[in-house]
Amino acid sequence: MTPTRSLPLQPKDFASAAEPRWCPGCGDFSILAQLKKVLAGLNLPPEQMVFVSGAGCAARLPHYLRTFGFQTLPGRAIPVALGLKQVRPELQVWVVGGEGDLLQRGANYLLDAIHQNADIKILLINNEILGQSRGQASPTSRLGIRTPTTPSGVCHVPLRPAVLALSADCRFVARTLDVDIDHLAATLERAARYRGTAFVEIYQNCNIYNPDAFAYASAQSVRPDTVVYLEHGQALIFGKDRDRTIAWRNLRPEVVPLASIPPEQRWLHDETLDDPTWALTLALWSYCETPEALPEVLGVLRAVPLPSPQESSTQVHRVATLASVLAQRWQHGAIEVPLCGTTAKQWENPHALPLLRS
Amino acid sequence: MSRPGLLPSFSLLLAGEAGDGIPFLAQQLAQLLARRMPSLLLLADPPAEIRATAGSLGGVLSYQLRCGSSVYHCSECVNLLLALRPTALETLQIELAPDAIVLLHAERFAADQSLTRPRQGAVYPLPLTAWNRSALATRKLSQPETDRCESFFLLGLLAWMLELPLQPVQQWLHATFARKPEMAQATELALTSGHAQAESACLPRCGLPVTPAPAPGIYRLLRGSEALLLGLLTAAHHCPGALLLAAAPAPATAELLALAHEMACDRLVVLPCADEVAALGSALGAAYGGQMGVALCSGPGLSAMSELLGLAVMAQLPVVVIQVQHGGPALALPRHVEQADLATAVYGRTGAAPLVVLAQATARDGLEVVVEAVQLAQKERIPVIVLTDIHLLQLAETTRIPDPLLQGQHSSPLSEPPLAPEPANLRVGWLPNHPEVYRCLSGLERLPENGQVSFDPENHAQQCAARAARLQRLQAALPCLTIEGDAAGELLLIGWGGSFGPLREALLHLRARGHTVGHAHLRYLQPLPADLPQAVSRYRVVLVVELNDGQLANYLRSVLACPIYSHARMGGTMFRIAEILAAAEPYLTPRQEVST
Repeated sequence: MTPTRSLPLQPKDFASAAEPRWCPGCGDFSILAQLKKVLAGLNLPPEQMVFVSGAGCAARLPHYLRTFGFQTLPGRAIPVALGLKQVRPELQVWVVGGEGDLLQRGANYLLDAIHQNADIKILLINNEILGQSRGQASPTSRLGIRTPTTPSGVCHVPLRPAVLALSADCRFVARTLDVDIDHLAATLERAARYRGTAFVEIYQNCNIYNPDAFAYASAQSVRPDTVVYLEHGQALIFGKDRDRTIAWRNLRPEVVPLASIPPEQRWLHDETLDDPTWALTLALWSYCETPEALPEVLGVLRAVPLPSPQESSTQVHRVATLASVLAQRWQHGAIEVPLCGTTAKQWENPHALPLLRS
Repeated sequence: MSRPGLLPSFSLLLAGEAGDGIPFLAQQLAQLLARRMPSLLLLADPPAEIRATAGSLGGVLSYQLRCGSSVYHCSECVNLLLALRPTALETLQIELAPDAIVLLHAERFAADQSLTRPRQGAVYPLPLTAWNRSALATRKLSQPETDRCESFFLLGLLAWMLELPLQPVQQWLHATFARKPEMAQATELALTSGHAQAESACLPRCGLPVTPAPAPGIYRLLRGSEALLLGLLTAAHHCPGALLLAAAPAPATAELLALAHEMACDRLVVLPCADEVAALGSALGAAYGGQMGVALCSGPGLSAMSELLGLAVMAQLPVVVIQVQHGGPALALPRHVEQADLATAVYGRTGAAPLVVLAQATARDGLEVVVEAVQLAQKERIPVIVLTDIHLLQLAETTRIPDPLLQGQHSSPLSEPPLAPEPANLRVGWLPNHPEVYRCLSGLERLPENGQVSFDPENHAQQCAARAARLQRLQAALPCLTIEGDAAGELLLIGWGGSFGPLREALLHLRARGHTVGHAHLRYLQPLPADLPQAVSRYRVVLVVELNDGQLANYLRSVLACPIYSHARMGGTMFRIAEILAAAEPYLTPRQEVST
């Protein structure tokens, strides 16, 4: 046995021996660092945590954590995580993947995980490019960007991962940013403590193939004007001087001066709403994509408290014991042959036949 | 009135539409016959359409029942045909025995003259509806209620023809309609009236073959699908933890999966999945968590699982895949039998990914093959594919219920504890919640000494060889090939999977004719039995019989030095005995037929 761990755990206790092999400056370093910090604070032994991934840059993350990990195949992380959680509900199961991994080959299973609400944490690391595939366009790549597979520029409207999750009625959806480390850590912790499938979209900078995709939100100088941070029960206020908010004008959300809206008419964020419409509205705002330059929304969009453990599919009520089911199923439709037979025969082994000739 | 010795076996085909009570009749007749005949098979052929229009060709359903002293094969020449709908004769490819008796539902056949009428056998058009209505005329029942009793009337009629006692049915209906005494009386009256009507109408007796009586005991009709699931339950009993059965929805496995949900318990967890990849992925997740993972698929689903089977080989995770074969490729014949997934099971992965392939031979063999597959997977930490087929799932045979189960226990004759995690071997034993080892499992090649990821080509070659060597080690540990019939001689028939029945009966026929013939039915398809080369060398001719394009024959040609002859045809229907006899004929030395 190895020596027992000293508690509380430190982030370094979650570092594996493997040296992270990402490009210098990759946003994944920040995500790894904050994840280690959050995991250390959960008061759970590392051996009860499992990180499952598929393929791509983000999928290397489990190798760098001193927890259990399983890097599977492109897009196949979620089924593995669901199967594991089904038979080992006491484990905390995380899935880490890029948008190519989880929204291309894995999209079917992402919906399945949301549908089953099976208490797994899904971290979708969105850098709007396929890094491992040498900079090909991903489903979230913005219109017009040129990549090896889109030499004339991306011509499809990008998918929005958080919108997708909310459309599927995911009960916990959050969005955060790799360089905003405090917000990242706080969001990851919220996801870790949520019981049910938690979906976190993390904007991450690929400084090789898609640099500065999130510069509008990353740079401290502009962030207050481009990002609105969500807080439960608080109004949507942003701007360097915290003097702007969003209001509904002509059936469209618009940026308006805070002073123009009386406090009682301001929109207050409610993450616990059972109806996903509000969260969806927020998730759709995009600083770069919408012409009104609405601020990008970061934070917990939706975190519906689960009413009872029965809602989670891992808590399925199973009472019958194997022995009783086995005996009962065997005797299903039993036929009694009364004690009148005369000849012993090969019932026990139907394959054994009397030889016709010696 | 029976004709002793005339029929070594007896085959009965009941055909009609949904609502005609065919499954009920088949089950009840099978229960009655099982008390008299030592060997009985029942094959269900469900309708092609879910809710077919009445009278349409897609709505035909049939049950075939064959019994005798030792029958192995169900779909053979029919001795007694009951056709309740003209469409049944149009749809089913029925081969009647020369002295067959054909019973027709006269009212329905009279109504539709456009469809085929039987040209063979002794045909008896029976006004069943009129007979039943007049029998129940004294009862105060509505017409639909009276007509619902028609299957009991028919059961009584058939019981008279087959000389079967009515008493077990009477007991059954009194128990079933305990709370509806008027129904119990009406059905009983229909039953006894049918029995009396058969006699007064001078219907012929069918003459069941004379056989030894079955040994006293408690039996049941065990279907292939039930056997597979009872096998899974038994395997779960021997597993240290739970057994996860994951499956995607598919018509071929729908019934199996519904049954699995009924059998779900504390140790058998059933997980419905989005697709076959998710099913195998979930099974891998369960295996990674130290439990047993089983994935169920059918038809093209096995191809979808290919990539994750490769991962399972690399990660040394014990999983079992149960593949229900049907006519392919794609969904070519989704309801018909075929054995064309062998090559995919043996070879169908990228890279060199050796795994174990087993095949189910008979309905009740499902039980043993699944238990063996789970144990092999756990012991060797290797994926195992079990090939079954849609025909075997629907085929039922009478099986004696093991005594310990009747006493409320279950023995564990097969229990052998699975291998404990081996910390020395870095590729196994990484069970989460094990504080000594933290490691990220993956499909990447690793160094054997420290488990580090390595892309060194030389190491890769060594690891591939090590993975192949595991199969060779397993081959040495597997039981020897069992050959039924002559241990050496003119001809060795080799088969696999669901063609066991016709092959085994063909063997009996050939040996009865005086030929020296053996039959080897391969359960282990990869690795093959180690003594197969020696076994085949004892025969002049080796003939492989299979329902595909010759996949086993080609596979055997790659491993055996002797010439391999093949009788292969694409599926749709199972082999008939006569077809196998004809295929074997050219390879046999002509000799005078020995009378049996």
